[in-house]
Order: sequence, then structure tokens, then C-alpha cells
Amino acid sequence: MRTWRGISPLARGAGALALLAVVGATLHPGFLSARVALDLLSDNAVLGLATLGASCVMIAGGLDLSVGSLAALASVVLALLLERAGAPPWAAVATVLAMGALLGLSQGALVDALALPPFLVTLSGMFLFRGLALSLAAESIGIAGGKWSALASSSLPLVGGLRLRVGGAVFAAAALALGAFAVRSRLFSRLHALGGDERAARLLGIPVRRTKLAVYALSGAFSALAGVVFALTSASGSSVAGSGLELDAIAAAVVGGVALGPGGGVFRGRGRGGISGACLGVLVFGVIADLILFQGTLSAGWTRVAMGGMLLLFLSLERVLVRRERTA
Amino acid sequence: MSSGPTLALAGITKRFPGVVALDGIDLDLFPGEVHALVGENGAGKSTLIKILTGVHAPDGGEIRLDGRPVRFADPREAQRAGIAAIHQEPTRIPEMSVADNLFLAREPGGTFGVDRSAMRARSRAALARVGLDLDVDRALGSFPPAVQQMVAIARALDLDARALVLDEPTASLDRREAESLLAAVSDLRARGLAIVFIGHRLEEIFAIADRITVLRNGRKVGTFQRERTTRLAVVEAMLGRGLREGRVRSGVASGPATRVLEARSVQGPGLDAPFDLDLAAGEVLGLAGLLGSGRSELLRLVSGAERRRAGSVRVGGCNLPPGDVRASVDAGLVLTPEERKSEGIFPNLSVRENIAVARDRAFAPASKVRQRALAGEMAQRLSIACADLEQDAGALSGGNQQKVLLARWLATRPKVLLLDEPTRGIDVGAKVEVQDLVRDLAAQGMAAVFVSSALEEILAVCDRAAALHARKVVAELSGAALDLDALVRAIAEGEAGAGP
Amino acid sequence: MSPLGRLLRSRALPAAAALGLLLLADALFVPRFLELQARDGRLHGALVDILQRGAPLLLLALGMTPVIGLGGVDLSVGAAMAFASSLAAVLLTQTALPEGAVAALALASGLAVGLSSGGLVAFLRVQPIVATLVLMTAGRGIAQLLSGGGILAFESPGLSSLARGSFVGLPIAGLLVLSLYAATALLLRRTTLGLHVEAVGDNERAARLCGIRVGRVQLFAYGLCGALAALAGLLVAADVGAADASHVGLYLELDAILAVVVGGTPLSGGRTSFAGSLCGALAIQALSTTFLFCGLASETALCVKAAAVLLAVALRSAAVRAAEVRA
Repeated sequence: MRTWRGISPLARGAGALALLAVVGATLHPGFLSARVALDLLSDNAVLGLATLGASCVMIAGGLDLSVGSLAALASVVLALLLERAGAPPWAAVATVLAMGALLGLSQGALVDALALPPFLVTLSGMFLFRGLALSLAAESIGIAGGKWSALASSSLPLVGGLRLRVGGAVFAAAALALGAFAVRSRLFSRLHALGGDERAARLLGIPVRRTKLAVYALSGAFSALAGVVFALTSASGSSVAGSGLELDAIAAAVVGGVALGPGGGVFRGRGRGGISGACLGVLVFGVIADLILFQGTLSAGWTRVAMGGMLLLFLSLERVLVRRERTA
Repeated sequence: MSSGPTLALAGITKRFPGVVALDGIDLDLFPGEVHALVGENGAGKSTLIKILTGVHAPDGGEIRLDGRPVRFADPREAQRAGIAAIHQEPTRIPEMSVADNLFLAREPGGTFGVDRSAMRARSRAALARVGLDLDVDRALGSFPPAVQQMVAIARALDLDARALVLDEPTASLDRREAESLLAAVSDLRARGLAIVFIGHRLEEIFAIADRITVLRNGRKVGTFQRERTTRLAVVEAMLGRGLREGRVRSGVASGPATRVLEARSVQGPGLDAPFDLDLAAGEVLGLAGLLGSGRSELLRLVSGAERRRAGSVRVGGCNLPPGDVRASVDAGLVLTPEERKSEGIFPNLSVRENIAVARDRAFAPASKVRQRALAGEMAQRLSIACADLEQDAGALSGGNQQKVLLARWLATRPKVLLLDEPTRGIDVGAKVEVQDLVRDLAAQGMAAVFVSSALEEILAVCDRAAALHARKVVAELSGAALDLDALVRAIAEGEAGAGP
Repeated sequence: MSPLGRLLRSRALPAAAALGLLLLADALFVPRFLELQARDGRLHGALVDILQRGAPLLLLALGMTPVIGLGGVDLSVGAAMAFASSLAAVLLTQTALPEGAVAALALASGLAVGLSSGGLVAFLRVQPIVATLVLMTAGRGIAQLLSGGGILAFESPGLSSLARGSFVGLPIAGLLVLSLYAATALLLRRTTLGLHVEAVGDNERAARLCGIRVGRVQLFAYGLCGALAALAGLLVAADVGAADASHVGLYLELDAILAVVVGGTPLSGGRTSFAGSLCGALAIQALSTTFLFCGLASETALCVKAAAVLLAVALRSAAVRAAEVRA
């Protein structure tokens, strides 16, 4: 049972992914190809980036419901900067990312200073950012600039003539960077400690306030990056982008083993899992969608049902195993 | 400095709203000494430790470190001054690796982040100092509790501590694990560390401590040299013998009465041996034992709050299913738990609701008027002092909360009351009221089990008494055999006194 | 305590005050807002509109109240709405079942969704937010499968008169919702059930030791929440004569949680206020209607709503802390 604890979230996510891949390969000969795998990254880049940010907050025992709205707001602001203000792409992207981090930071400040449940703070953030996005642009704004289009259609050449589209490249790079950061940084140990037991973390001398502010800022920046990728792939900024993204991101993170622990109250996670788990969760999500796409039914319904089933399976598995561990 | 105390507390006083938690405590701690701090729950041990480690600031008195007065604003300052503590509440993150737990908030490395390999090496070194050799990348939670505790100590020592505070370090350990921890502690003493050791297992205290300070109700009763004292003397100091002899019941059984509770070879978590329990109508059985002796566990097993593994419990002739509180309540067997705040009172519900909550099953008709009448009657009968029956129960004093819990059960017309420390942490007047109430109820034919760490109280209230030692029932005393000396001996030494 | 004192200490007061102030502002600054006209034997006007359009939100807030009172939360109500309305649409278009039977089956489907979340919470001890996230994801998925992913139009005179008809000049939907509020409040206040809900929310361990069957109370609350959500779904679908599995009730669960919390039921549980939830939901609906009436875009409404949430919750947390300091 001890070994289970050590490898659990990753192994489960990877196992589910492998199982789905095998199912896909038996049903469809072309399923297990490098191209499909690369497309998987690109197609799920927006969800993936949002999940990365949201998982960090969940690891720290919080919750961020504002990721979808913030992504939408970011895409709209980006489009405005590029189209109306004529800003160069790098400046626009940098501005949008800074804005995301700042908005995230302010949510963190509210959670910390007013001791409000993160659920409510980020819920109001969700309304506010969506409202701001809508008031900036009710209709979606097409981005026609040459530089942006060039960037949007660019891709990363890989071995064997394969190419990774820009969205996928951003997701992969962000995931790798965050993964490396998770291993190296002090911040990440603090996130885990905070999510594991806030009181213990305080007694151990962890600067709780600073850590909370940092993680919400991080989540905000990742939401904004998701908005940037949305703007890249759709060549537009849209105030209705990323609707439902926040809950999908939480679901993907949970499948990846983040915050599955018992206790901790209603609106808190429990500091389990990590970045790799979150990525796996996103990929599971994506593979399910792909499988259903390959099946030709084209129904979002099946994706959701399969996702729900997957969540349920993991939850029961966790419960059974934890119980056995206790009695052992 | 070499001969003076590392730490000296003088006249430390701490008040919380409504209670004086510590009242002029003096304590000194020399290098190379293990100083044990003992006392029952609520004696003030934890508060004293929190003051020592900077969690609370004292309202009065002085802390001197190496002769210089100090004030700690927070735990970090105390840590920096060289006082390390292993708190009772967990200061570890089980999901994280051993190395992470050792170096959280002080990870080695530079601007480019944590230097993992340095962290591993330093972790191994820190663990070696307490005699451990572990895979530092494994999750801390995957090791047994004793090892986790040792890791916490290793962390504390790695902070260059000169004084180490251990708050019940063996509470969650089994005997063998506790022994290895004690060996490590005595090793640290040999290296000149000044150690405060809080515990409630007297065997351990007498095995490890050089001096023993006893606290009771926020006051220091005395400091004993280990070689010059006995367990008996320490237990007497803890439980306050002779402070108030009070009345002693004659202990004469009033003829044959109907047996209402019959527990046979009940076994379950927290107790090392199966036990029997018999209770007749109108009888009060005292349950004496130190903290951790299994007295609460016993009550929880009987009441169904904890699922028993084996054995049977019969109330009024009907068998109770294991682990089913509702069935017990319906049969007339009810428990007031020791943890009044976390398991008894509904702090945000009104006094009326707190009293009415257990009486009816779900979907039974409820009327505010009838509840108010019931609560009013109970408040009068138990003289519950509250401004208003609609007042939040969380705002009541401890004694009144206890009476509310009793009222809640009396409203269900029970046959057997299981009372776990019903007078703990309440003021003297309320204590006497609760004791009198239990006697009154017994006179009306109710049976009760009365757990208390105050022996004079057991003698005053109970007809019979059972003593627990080291999670076993070791003696049952009644009639002439029930006296203070026999009880103290049974509790302290685990000797069976005169049998029933 | 005097009636006035009780009124001033009531949990519903802030929400009622917010609703009152909003309507007062409307009366002062929005011409013809409070005007009622009788046409074709029924009343028309913004106030009637609030009651009719707000019916689904009012129902969700009603069901959510005991769930939050238990210290839980139900994110699956939007999905339950979608599920129930799609099921009804499919049954009406593809079978010959009578409307009553269809409605009953749809309500039962919502009950099933609720009982499933409740079961996960009560028996698997899954955190409510995660448990209901499962049902939220899967429930809407099943709804989309049922309806084939598109919008299913149906004809149902009975249901549509329920959603759009009027009785003595007032919308039936509104009257139905109000009477359900009264019935639920009566059920919880006049039996021990309400006390048990609050007891579990306030101190679950103590509730277990009191002999309260915590699991059953949880099942009841989540089941009721699911069934009421199904009714809300039916009303929405019947109002437009079609079921849209992808969009019915989307994000409405968050509005409902908001209404309940603004209405004085704390997110940590332990207290419930049905009057508060009613006022909270009405205030949220009144806000939307006001913006609609003034021709303001929905984005402003969103921003105002966000600010209102923060203000309400922050004030409440400040009040709670002040009370703690006093204690």
C-alpha cells in the first residue's frame, strides 16, 4: 500500500491514458500516430493552460473559478491591443500576461485579507471578468494583423517532418517550464505544504500570505496565456471564449489526481498531485474527445459522460484504497 | 552561563476570555536535563508551551534565555533564538517527501531555486544525528508515526536548537516505537540539550525525566526530583488529593435492583483487553484512570459512537447493534462526550435547539412552542444560566454548555447516562451542581457511568468505581474497598486492588 | 424578544433590504417599472416578469438552501435541469405518454441525479464540490446524448400553461414556486428535519453522536435539490417549447449558490434561511430585469453582480468576525 501512495496520482492518470490509447488503437488503426498525439497537444492547449494554473491553486488548497472568464478577457484585450492600438505582438502578449497576473493577485489578496472562501471570491471574479470582456467587445474581434497571422500559422518543426502547431508548442513549453519550476522552486514546496495543512505550514514558518498571493497570480497569468493561445488558434478575441473552462479545468485536474484527498472542508483541496498529473488529466480529457471524434458520433455528450465516469471511477478507487490502507 | 539555566520562566500568567489559563508559573530548564511537564487536560501544559515557543504572548511574567529577558513575537523568532518545538498538532505534511519536510521554508540553494542534491545530503546528515537512515525522497506519511516524529525532531535540531520542547511526542506511538524515541531523547540530553517533555504516560516520564513539574488548573503544584519521588506522589499531585476531601458516599448498595446495562467482552479500537460492564438502575459507576488510559474509548464503544469489534451490549434486555448511535439512544443509552466543544455542542444553534435536537427522529413533527417549553423546563430544572433560550449555545460558559448537553439527553428520558468528564473545565459551582444532578438522577432510578480524573469527585458521586491503567480495566472497587488509596494505587501502578 | 428585535436579527434581513432598495431605486429612477397592467385577464409589468422569469432560479435557490445548510454545495443542478428537460422533450416527442407521467418521470430523473450526488457525499465521503462536479459533467452529457446534441422542440399544452399561464392574473410558475417555498419551509421548520439539517451543518461529529442519521439527511437534501432542479428545467423548457441540453441552466448553479449565500445561509453551513434565499434570488432576478428594462447590456449586469457578491460576502464576514471578537 505504501508504494501505491508514492506513485498514485501519476500512475493512475498514466494508466487511464494508456488504457484509452489501447482502446483507441484497437478501434481505429490510425489512432496511435505521432500526428494524432501532436494534435492532441494543440487541440487541448487552451484547456491545458487553464488547468495548469487552476491546479496550482488547488494544490495550495484553494480554488479558482475565474480561469475561463479571465481567458476571455485576455483574448479580448489582446485583440484590442493588436487591432485598435496597433501594438506589436510581443508587447501585447506581455501586457495581457501582466494583466492576468495582476487580476489573479487581487483575487488572492481578497481571499487572504478578508478570509473569504476562495469559491466566492473567484466566483465574483468570474462574473466580473466576463462582464468586463463583454463591455469591451460584445462581438468577437478578428485579428487580421500580418505579424499575428504569421505567428498563428507558425509551427515547430520536429523530427520526421512532423510539426507541432503553435498552440501545442506553447502548452508543451509551459507545462515543461512549470514542471521544472515545480521541482526547483521554493514556491512549489510551499504550495504543497499550504494545501497539505495550512496550520502546520504556518507553524513550520511558511509565509502563508505571500504564497497565497503568488499562486493566484500564477493562475491568473496562466489563464491569460490560455486566452492568448485562444487568440492564436481562432485569430480573434472573443468575450464568450472559455465558457465552462473553469469547471472542465477542475475536472481535468481531479482526474489527474489533484485534490482528491478526503477532508479539508467543502471548498478546499488537499495539496495532492502535481503538474504532471494535471497534464495527464488534460490529455485523458483530450483522448476521450478524440476517441469520440474518431467514432464519428461527434457528440459532446459522450465526452462529458466519459469524463464523469472517469471522475467517478477515480474517486471510488481512491476511497477503496484509502480505506484498505487504513485497515491494513 | 554554564551553570545557569538555559531557559527560566518566572511568574508566567496567561488569561483567555473567561479563564485564567496560567497563573504565575515558574519553571527553569538546565542544559543536559529532561524536564517533564505533567497534568490532566486543561491543566495548562499546552498554553505554557505555546508561550515558550512564541505562539502566544504572556499577559504577565518573564522569560529569560541564558539570563537575558526575551519576548517572542512569533514562532519564527523563538526558533531563531534556539528554542525548537515539536507541537502536539501536526507540524508535518505527510504527502511531501522526508527531505521536503526537513527543509520546508528554509530550503538550501540560491537564486536558481532549490538545490535538491544539497538538500538530500543535508537531510541525510540531519537524520543521522538522530540515528535514522531513510530514503529521503519518500513521502513522510509512508513511514510509521515514530519515524515521522523523529524526523520532526531532526528538523528541530537542525535549526541549532539549544532547548527542545516535545509536546506529547509519544501520544500516537506504540510501546516499541515510544521506547526508541525515548532512547533518542536521552541521547540528545547527553549532548547537552535542554529538553521539556510533556506526556501523560507515567512509565515514560519516570524513565526519561530528571525533574517533573506538575500543573493543575493553571497553577504549578510542585517540581519533583525523579529519584526522590514516587508515581503515587505525582499522581496525587496531578489529581489533587487532599485539596477537597468532600463527602464520601457510603457505598452501600440499596438491595437488589434491576440490571439496566450489561456489556460482555466488548472489544474495539483503543482498548487492549475485552471488558465487561454491569449497571443496575439507580447506580453510578465511576471510571477512573489517567488521560490515555482508555476511559473515553470504553464509553464510546459501549455507546456505539465507535464500532465494537466483538462482544455484546444489552440495555434493558435488548441487544444493541454495534456502531449504531441511534439504536442506543432509542434504547435509552446516551453519551456526553469529553470533547464538549467539538463533539457535543452545536455552537451556532440556539440553546432551545441544542436541547431539542436529539429527542425526535427526523420527520417527526416539531413545534417551536413545544421545544421552547421543553427547553424552558430543562433550563429551570438544571438551572442553566442563559439570557434567552434563543441565544447561541456557543456563547455559554463551559458549565452551562455541559448542562445543555445533559438536558439534551434528559429530554430523551434515558435509562443509562455515560458521562465522559462532565465536570472538566467548568467552574467550581457548576461542578457541584452537575455532581448533585447526577446523584438526583440516580435517586430517580437512572444509571450512570461517570468518568473523571478527579478522584475525590468519583468518591463523592459514585457507588462503585472501576480503574483503568494502560488501556485495560485493572480493578473494580466497591463498598468498603472503595477508597482513595486503593484507587490511586490501581491507576498509578496498574495493580488490582481489592477485587469486587 | 420583541417582534421588531427578531426582525432586525433575522438572517434574511440583508437580502430583503437589498431587494427593497433595488425596487425602491427602480421606482424612483426607472419610469414605469412598478407599473402593472391588466391585459387578457393577466397582469403585465416588470414585477410580474421578475416572478415569472425568476422562477427557475428561485427553485434552484430553494433546493440549494438545505444543501448549503448541511455544509455542502450542489454544482449539478444546472445539469439536472438539462437532463430533466431533455428527458421530457424526448418522452413527449417519441412516446405517447401523458403529460403528467412525463413530468413525473422528469422530476424522478432530477431526484436520481440528486440522490447520486448525495450518495457520493454520504457513503463514499467525497467532498460535495467534487461529487457534484461528477454529476454536473456526466448529467449534462447524458442530457446531450438524450437530445442528440441539438435543440428538441416539443408541444405540451399542459406544461406550457404551467410555465406561461396565469391564475387570478398572476403567473402560475411564480405561484407554484412561492407555494413550494412555503411547503419546503413548513416541512423543514415543522418537523425535526430542519433542525437535523442545521445540526449536521453546524457540527457533524456532534450530530452523529446525537443519533442523527447523517447520511439520510444528506441524501434527503441532495435529492430534494435535484428534484427541484428538474422542475426548474421543465419550466424553462416549457416556456420556450424546446429543450436545449447544452445551454439550459448553464451557470445557473452559481447564481443559485450566490442567492443562498446572499440570503444569509453561510457557506460553512449550520443555518438555513428560506426567506433569505427567496429574497436573494428575487434580488438577483430583479437586477437582471432592471438592466433589461433600462436597455443596459448584460455585461454591466455581470459587473454589478460581481461587485454585489463581494460586497455582500465581505460585509457578512466582517460582521461574523465582529461577533467573534465580542464573544
